[in-house]
Amino acid sequence: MMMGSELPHLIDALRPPIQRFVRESRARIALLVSSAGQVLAQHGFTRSYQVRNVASLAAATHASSHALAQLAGAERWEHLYHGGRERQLFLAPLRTPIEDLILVVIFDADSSLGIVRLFYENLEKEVAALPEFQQKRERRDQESFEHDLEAGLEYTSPDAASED
Amino acid sequence: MSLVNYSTREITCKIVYYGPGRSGKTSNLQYIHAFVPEERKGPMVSLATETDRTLFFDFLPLDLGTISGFRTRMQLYTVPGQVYYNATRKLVLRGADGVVFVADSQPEQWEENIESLRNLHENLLEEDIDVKTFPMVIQYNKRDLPGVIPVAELDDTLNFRGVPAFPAAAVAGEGVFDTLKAASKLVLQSLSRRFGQEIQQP
Amino acid sequence: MNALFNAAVERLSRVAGVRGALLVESEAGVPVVSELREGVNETAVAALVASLFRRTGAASETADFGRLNTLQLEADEGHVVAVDAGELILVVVADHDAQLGLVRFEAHRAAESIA
Repeated sequence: MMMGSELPHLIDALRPPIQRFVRESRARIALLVSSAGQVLAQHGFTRSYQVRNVASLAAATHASSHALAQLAGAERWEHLYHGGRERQLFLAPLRTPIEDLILVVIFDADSSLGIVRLFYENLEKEVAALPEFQQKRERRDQESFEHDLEAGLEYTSPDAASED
Repeated sequence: MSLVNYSTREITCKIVYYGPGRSGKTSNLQYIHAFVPEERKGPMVSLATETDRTLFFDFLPLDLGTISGFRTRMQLYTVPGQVYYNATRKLVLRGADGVVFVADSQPEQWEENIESLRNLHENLLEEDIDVKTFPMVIQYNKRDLPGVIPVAELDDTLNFRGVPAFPAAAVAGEGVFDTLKAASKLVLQSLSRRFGQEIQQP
Repeated sequence: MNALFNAAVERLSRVAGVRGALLVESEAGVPVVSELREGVNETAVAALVASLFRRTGAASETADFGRLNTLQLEADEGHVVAVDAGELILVVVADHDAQLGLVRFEAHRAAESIA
């Protein structure tokens, strides 16, 4: 998980790739989180509490999918896809040299699973090559865990940081 | 909600360990898992972050044996304690038959205890659960640390319902089984009232 | 069903100048069966051509031209021919100097055998 002090820098670096991804894939919503659910980039949300809820649920889904994969004898899944009538969900790991992130995409008939998958592959390569993701950092103590979670929201939120 | 299967004569109950982040919920389950005999427990599942914070839940299935002719199983869950994870916390709380509220006795966690208790009530209300009668037990954990708030003071602030409360030091195991026994008893009593059958604790 | 798909795609991929053929599920834009030479990006072709086909199909129906049956793309260094095959789309990727008439003919024949 990213420490609060580095976040603004990292979030700035992630903004162009995510915007490009959304533009090319025509997705409605995109969210990039750490494996702990810390928000690193977002597009398309209107309220910050929505971002936080989707972020923590996505991290939880990813964690349980991973546990299922191990029980199923698969090393890991490539992606999770939910097909709804109007909207669809795509959830996949974004692997970087120092840690795995999670990408959540919500799209409708303007896009397709194939398109999202295609541009997700590009996005993964782009993010993995960012200088910010090359160097493993010292983990700070666990005191600031919750603070760091909230900090992600603060820097990426469409409106004021934490409100319910 | 408890699953009572009259044809197979099995009861399954769900107890959720609730409380602020790092109050010792997972420690409770880990200790229980370590000391319950093999034939009475299932594997423990822990979905956690890299720094061992519960991300979704810990899960521990226990077999309490046969009570009044019913094979009784307890499923213990923990929730992630941080405020941030409320959406997932609500999911885990669904269908709970009882709650163990694990409070952190350290003074710097005073506000967090209160906030977490408030959050529990809020989430229970959302599920249409009567917060006044819902089976609940409180644990005042981390009694082994220096400078902790006296039990009486914690009890005064947190235990306005007057439910069974236990001091504990979960990592060392103190108070863990007392808490669990009390919670199971309350849940089973509540169950017997609901189904009109006498289900006694062994 | 699978044998039929495989046969159609395989025969197409053997036409002179064809770099590859694939059957794509049109809604998701994912490949069902494919025979591609090296250098052709299966995921990209399936997703992008399906997307184009859908949009062009919508344009066709909006203009009251009815259901789209063939989409042909001519570029500097190659051709893409996409043919409606029911819920699937048959896609052929061909070299610039391929016999386009033959490619189209074979593509239509293959699509008919599947639909």
